[in-house]
Amino acid sequence: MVKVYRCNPEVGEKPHYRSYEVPWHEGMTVLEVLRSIYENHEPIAFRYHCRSGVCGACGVMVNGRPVLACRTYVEGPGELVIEPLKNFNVIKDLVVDRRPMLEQTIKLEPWLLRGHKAAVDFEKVEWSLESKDKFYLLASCRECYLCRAACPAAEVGFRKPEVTKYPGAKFYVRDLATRLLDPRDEGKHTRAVKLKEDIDAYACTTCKKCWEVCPREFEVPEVMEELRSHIANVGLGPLEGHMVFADFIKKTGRAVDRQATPLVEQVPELIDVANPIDEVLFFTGCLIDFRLQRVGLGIIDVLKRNNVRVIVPKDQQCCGSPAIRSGLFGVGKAQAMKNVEVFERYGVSKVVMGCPGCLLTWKTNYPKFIYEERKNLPRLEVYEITEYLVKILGLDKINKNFSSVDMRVTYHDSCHLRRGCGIWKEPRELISIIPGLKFREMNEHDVCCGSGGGVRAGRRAVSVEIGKRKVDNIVAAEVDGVIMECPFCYIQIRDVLQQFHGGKVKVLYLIELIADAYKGAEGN
Amino acid sequence: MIEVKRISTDVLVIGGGAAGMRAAIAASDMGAQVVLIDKGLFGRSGMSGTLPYWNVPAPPFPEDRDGYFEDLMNGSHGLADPKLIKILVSEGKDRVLELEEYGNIFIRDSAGEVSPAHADSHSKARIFTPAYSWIMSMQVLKRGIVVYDETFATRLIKSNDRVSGAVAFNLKEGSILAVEAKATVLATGGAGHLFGMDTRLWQSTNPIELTGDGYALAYDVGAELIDMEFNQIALEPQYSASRGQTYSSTALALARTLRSATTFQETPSVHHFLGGVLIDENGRTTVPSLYACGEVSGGLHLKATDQFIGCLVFGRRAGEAAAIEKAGEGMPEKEVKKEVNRVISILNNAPNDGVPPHVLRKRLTRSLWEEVGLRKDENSLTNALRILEDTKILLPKMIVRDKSKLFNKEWVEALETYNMVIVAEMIVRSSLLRRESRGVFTRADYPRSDERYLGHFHIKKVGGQMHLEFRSLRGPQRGLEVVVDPSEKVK
Ligand SMILES: Cc1cc2nc3c(=O)[nH]c(=O)nc-3n(C[C@H](O)[C@H](O)[C@H](O)COP(=O)(O)OP(=O)(O)OC[C@H]3O[C@@H](n4cnc5c(N)ncnc54)[C@H](O)[C@@H]3O)c2cc1C
Ligand code: SF4
Ligand code: SF4
Ligand code: FES
Repeated sequence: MVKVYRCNPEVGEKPHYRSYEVPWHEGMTVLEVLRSIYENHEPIAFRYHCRSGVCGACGVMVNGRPVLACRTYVEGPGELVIEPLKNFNVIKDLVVDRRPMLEQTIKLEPWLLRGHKAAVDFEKVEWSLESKDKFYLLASCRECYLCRAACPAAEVGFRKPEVTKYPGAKFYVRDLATRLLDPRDEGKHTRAVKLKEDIDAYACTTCKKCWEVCPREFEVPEVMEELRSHIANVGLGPLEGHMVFADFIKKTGRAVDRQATPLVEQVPELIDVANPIDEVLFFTGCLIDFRLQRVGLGIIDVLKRNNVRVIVPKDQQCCGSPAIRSGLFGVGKAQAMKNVEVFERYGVSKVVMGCPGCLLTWKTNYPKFIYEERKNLPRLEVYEITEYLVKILGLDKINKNFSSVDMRVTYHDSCHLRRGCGIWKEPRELISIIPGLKFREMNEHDVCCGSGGGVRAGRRAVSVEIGKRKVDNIVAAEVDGVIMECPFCYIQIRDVLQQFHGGKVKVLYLIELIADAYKGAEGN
Repeated sequence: MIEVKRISTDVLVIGGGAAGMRAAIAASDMGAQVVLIDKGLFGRSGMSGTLPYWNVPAPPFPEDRDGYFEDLMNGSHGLADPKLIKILVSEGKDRVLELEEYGNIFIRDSAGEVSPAHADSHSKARIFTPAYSWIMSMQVLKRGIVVYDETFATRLIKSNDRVSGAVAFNLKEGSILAVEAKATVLATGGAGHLFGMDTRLWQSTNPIELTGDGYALAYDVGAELIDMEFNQIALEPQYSASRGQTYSSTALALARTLRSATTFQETPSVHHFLGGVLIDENGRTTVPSLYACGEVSGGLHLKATDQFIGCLVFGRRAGEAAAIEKAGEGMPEKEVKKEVNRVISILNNAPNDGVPPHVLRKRLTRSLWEEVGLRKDENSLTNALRILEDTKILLPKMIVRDKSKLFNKEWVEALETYNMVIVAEMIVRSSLLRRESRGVFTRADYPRSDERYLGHFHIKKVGGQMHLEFRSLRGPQRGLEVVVDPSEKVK
């Protein structure tokens, strides 16, 4: 059964859905499904040109996800919901109005900018292998706008243009990043201005939703960070809200100010257990150390209860992520050097952390930074605590002496954890072993909460709008609690829930919930 | 009723591929006002917009011009017009340099020097790559050229003997556009989709909009076409559905996306037309004020490997020549009305036993694929001709089920079907008459080339009928016109 969004404004038709029975065959694409409806039922309107994933014309939403119809196979008979691409106005049925995209593109002047014309023969172009590969890759963008349809920031831009102009990844990936990679281009400054003004580059939460759907698999947030670094290099960025973090890091080694006693000062450096089965270093991260100490204590507690010896290095500092996300690579690199040096001192290889932001930085930025400086890689393996519990200790082997937690809950996927580090199964598995929890997925469970990429700090209004969509989904799930595993999401969702729904749903940090379930069992 | 928008401009370009874009840029740079209409999404349609990137051949240095000339003449088996090829090889490099000025960067070696690639059919390395369609489309928009995309030209309009504009159908608005122009440049590309299925690459790599409209439009106003039987078939990678990346999103349990194409097999498919609307050095067709360039044009007899440079060199020439055309008489209202009525009557047609366009097209394209595309001989071609005649009879029975005007693809398909039938007839009839194999043209029953056929079949509408005429290029017979029709044997 295929449900298709239908709307023909010419005859005053309101948007509605029609269902069609479409015989399925092996290897059937969504485009074939549409064509089959067109031929055998009624001529619905949809776009396509090439049938081969190149023209980018056939983008539609299939079961809520933007895809190219011609390159998406239907796995079996079953329900399929096909809708026009999100964040566009609809012309008719599945055909969206792409004209504004073209107009926006021209504004970015994505052509070679320079004062002179080349000589009569081919000029020498010297560029690094890396720039070259990247240029060709990004230039191959299919202009399919799946990235826009998936993007939480562009959704705000579409729904509330007064809050942000953010148009989606394609506009900086293809139209500006390629030009900045071109060594002949003289428009470096203009491009930075456009990035800041026309694109509102600081509204991207680096959530990687676009990466997930892009047929070219562009590492979009990485590109965004490089562009932000470019804005910073020409002196136009980052935003004030970001500078606060960067200044703090430079001055104190931490990204936030001290309020209560930091976790590292509350606990001894070595937390030993009787017969350790393993030994780990605990990287706390600024938010857990300075704001959510309970979460940190929970991590230590859970590890202890699973016979793992924990070392909490006293000299650890901010991972540098807040600086890196806003394009201040220099500050980030200095932090990487410090932390790696401190952690390598112990001769213990496993590092555990409870913050996906730190984890992502350690996993993706650190190896690069360290290699640039030392020409070798950090001698450390990093794990998120839930990943460590499920993958290293083993779900079947961990201590399951839990008390029952009677609650209806849902889980919010942190972007950095899910798409950044590929961790989304582990938290759900842990939730499933805690007795009493009644779990249900919410709608758009893996869409950003609006806090990432420095958006909460730099572009609060955008962040709140993205957050609103999130908390509306949480409330619609009719649960008592929403579980997550990220301090940024935790603070953001807590605040936005409070703002729009008066704290109707409890906000829970997974690892803390697990620690509490252990404690509860002890009390019995 | 349908809204008819009338606009007037200096130059009208029909088609937004490499040729059309280059023509529009050239005309605009000459100071002319330009309107470009494109049946698909601008920059992403036609063969130019649906290739990941362009490989553009050109002689890298002046000394190589002769070599490239030889390669092209040999590759055409004597059918390319040496006048045109001379121009191509001498202007090719400038057009390629221009692409870099637009923003492309061709592959460089480790020293930073440009480093063209080899192609099988070339004696030297002269493929500059990659160039991107979108980079060129930005040049068009940058110049403020008015682009109507998803707008389908249905007919060229003549005032007396010259073309004075075109009528088109704007899908996005559901309205009709009548563009009056001092000169019109046809750049509608090939017609590979005549051999193709609707949803898979199988049979033709060409995008669905390449239904040969330009050939039919030019034919309709009396232009001459040549070499329509030369349709290149190539082994093309076909992506297979058997494997792909599975995405774990629970929301998409049913659909699987294939992102990087890793698995494919090679299958033959029709991909390129070597003939088309006959042009001279400036892209002029045999009809005054009508120009043609790119794959829709004939005379250069370029294979697919060498097509882009033809699009760019003659696109520019056609655009420049079109820009200096003097205004003639305007578009006769009567003719515009007639076309609007025709278009509307196809929408409103409601015979009792109506057949939707896709039914007719499937039959036609299957026959073309099986009996003309893959393998052909006297029998198969005769059969194809029969199916073609049947299809012609069925045209008035064609019914458009959706009667609304907005984004009505079925209406477009119906209009295209008329064009497809005309183009198919050109192909089948000239194929029947060419009793030999030459270059990309192969006949199973005549596997060898025959010098008597060194020449072109010229196709033209005469008295409402398709008229084919063989003009030999051979020694004493050169220039001799031998009139033939399908019932007659070629001497
Ligand atoms: C698989 C493949 C690989 C190829 N590789 C190469 C290569 O490496 N090098 C090379 O030189 N050549 C190559 N070619 C050939 C080359 O791609 C094409 O010949 C060339 O792109 C044709 O350009 P064009 O501008 O003439 O037409 P197209 O690019 O096909 O554009 C036609 C345009 O006309 C529009 N149009 C059509 N009908 C209408 C209408 N009725 N009204 C309005 N608009 C209309 C279409 O929307 C489109 O915009 C290849 C071809 C194929 C199939
Ligand atoms: S990373 Fe997220 S916010 Fe940024 S462009 Fe991609 S989808 Fe949008
Ligand atoms: S960046 Fe990727 S998803 Fe976005 S338009 Fe380009 S190819 Fe499509
Ligand atoms: S039809 Fe071209 S990308 Fe799907």
